[in-house]
Amino acid sequence: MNEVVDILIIGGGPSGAAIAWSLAETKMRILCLEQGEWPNSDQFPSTGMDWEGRQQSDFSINPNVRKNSADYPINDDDSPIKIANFNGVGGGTVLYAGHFPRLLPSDFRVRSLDGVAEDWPITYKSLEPFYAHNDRIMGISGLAGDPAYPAKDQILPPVPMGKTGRMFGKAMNKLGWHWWPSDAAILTEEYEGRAPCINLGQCLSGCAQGAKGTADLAYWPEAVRARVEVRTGCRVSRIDTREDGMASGAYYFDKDGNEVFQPAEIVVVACNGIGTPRLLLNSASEKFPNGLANSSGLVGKNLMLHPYAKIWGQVDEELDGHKGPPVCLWSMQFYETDKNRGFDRGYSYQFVRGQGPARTAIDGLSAGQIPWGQDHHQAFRNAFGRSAGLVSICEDLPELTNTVTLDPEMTDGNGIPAPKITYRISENTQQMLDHSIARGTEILEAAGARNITSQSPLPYAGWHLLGTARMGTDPQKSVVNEWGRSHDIKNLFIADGSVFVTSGGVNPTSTIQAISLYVADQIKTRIYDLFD
Amino acid sequence: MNISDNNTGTNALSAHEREIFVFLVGCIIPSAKDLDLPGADDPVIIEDIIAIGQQNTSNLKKLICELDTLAPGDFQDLTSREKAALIHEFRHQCTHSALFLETITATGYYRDPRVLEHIGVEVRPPFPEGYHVEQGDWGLLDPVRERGPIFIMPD
Repeated sequence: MNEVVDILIIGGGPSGAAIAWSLAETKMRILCLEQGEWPNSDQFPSTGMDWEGRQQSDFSINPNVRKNSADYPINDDDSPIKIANFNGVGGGTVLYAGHFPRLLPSDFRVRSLDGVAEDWPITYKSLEPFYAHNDRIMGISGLAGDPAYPAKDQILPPVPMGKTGRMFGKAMNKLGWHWWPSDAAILTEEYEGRAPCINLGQCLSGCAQGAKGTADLAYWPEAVRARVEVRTGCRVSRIDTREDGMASGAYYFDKDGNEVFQPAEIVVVACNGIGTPRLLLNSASEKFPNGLANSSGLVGKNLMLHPYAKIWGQVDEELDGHKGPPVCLWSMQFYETDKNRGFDRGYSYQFVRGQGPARTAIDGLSAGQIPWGQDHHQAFRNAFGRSAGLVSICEDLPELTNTVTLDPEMTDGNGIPAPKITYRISENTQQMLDHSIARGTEILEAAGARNITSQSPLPYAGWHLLGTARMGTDPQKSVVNEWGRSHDIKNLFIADGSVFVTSGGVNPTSTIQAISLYVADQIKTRIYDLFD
Repeated sequence: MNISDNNTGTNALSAHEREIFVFLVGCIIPSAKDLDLPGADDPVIIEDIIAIGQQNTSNLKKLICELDTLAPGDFQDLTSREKAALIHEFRHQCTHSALFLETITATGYYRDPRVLEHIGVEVRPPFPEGYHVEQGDWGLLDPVRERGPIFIMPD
């Protein structure tokens, strides 16, 4: 049997990295088990001529397409939105766009403000120092003074506006609507020994330059220097418990396929909104027949995926095409609730530059804008380098019927039951999507675009995996308490997107990491009565 | 004709399958002599497209089988008009296969150096040189600043 560790962290993604880094100062023995490997930037698609092809194969955002040895299958047949993730040190940050908004203050008080869902047990103000700290470590670029947010520090200048950003900025000014350069986990200058962005435009398939704020580059090196151990190629199958109901450690499959037990005093689960409920449900035992930490019955419930709508158009002028970070601006014009719109809560927009030649052709063909046959070439030239658009990220309110369960048949390479997703878009969210398409069309028209198309929901955009082990003060209505500790098991913590009470309408990584730092801070602060 | 006839390897296309496949990709992106552009059925490009398709052999075989099944007779005996009608039927009845075909065709075609040069894309990977993107003038944000805060601060 392995030697006992003080803290076992399961998952080496953005939340596991942040919590490991923060807890390292305690000098406790900390081990992180990660089913994937360290990313190798020499192998990223942008280093070769086949960069667009590899985004559809070994660097696909969809694990069911990617099928790397670290990946596990996900049955998402019963969902209009397919799951996107990355399994490896750095987790989802390896393949994310680096778009880095925080939740807004109202997001933590949706029940009080709008009478829907639940309030969070924490506030924007309580997370604010952790947001700020995380921004400094990840290396966030942006522009101070955004009227959509309470004041926050600027660390690095924003990513270039480019021709695309200028076009959209003018269009938004014409409409009198909010827009602002995105906060982005993209280094626009050399920072802490890390190289600046050179506009590869391939954030979504890994940054070969190392300029993107990924957990493997921003957090892990320092945590490892502080003697945190990261053990890769280790897939955790279940968490075990002692007679007294406390967690005793976890079983994992090592690289040779042997199942090994890793004892631990404290277990932290950081596998995000699908991996975490999957693990807790797979940890069912005689003592916990419905899965671990599940006395509320809410493990795997309330899955929120952030449905996206995409609105796209063509203009006469040459834009940035596939050059530069794909996402350059955001808008929070329709973020806060306005009852006149017919739905609760709201959405944000991301303004997106163009795509590479193959992607332009594929999307144009599927949208019917680029035909088969002789007219293909002219239609392609009209689209390539002259297309841009925006996506709306719609707040997804928690629904008990949107779930992660265990598939009765599908398993991963180690025979561990795979997750099954059951998900429907609510009426409220559908109205939001429709509203965002209508307003997005107006924005593109104001920009002078033609051939405007939309797609809703985007089928392959299930990046944001939230809500399946929510936090709260009431053990009957939540899985973990207000500082991330399981209500049922006093030495089991969860620090990832699954603890979200509501989803907000923005990308969650900034908040996921802020919560992880906050949970770590609570563990350190309460260390002498942690299990009371 | 049997779709698996004349295979030369596990994933290879038979002569018959290749004939159908070459025809299909040429229908999507034909050559354009006036632009001096090859079509997707160019001998070099077709090999690349087949290699991409063979990353998912089952989809590749399926689409050829579907087209062959829809054909009113032996593929090589069809007239141009019959082939055009067949393509139309294939695109509308076999949407998943048509999307797969479009994806692999575009992926292979739009990385051929001749094509990239023609559309003004440097023939090199994005890394390590990267690209230039203009900074822009953030003074454009003045009207946004002037309107003031738009967020709700509860409590």
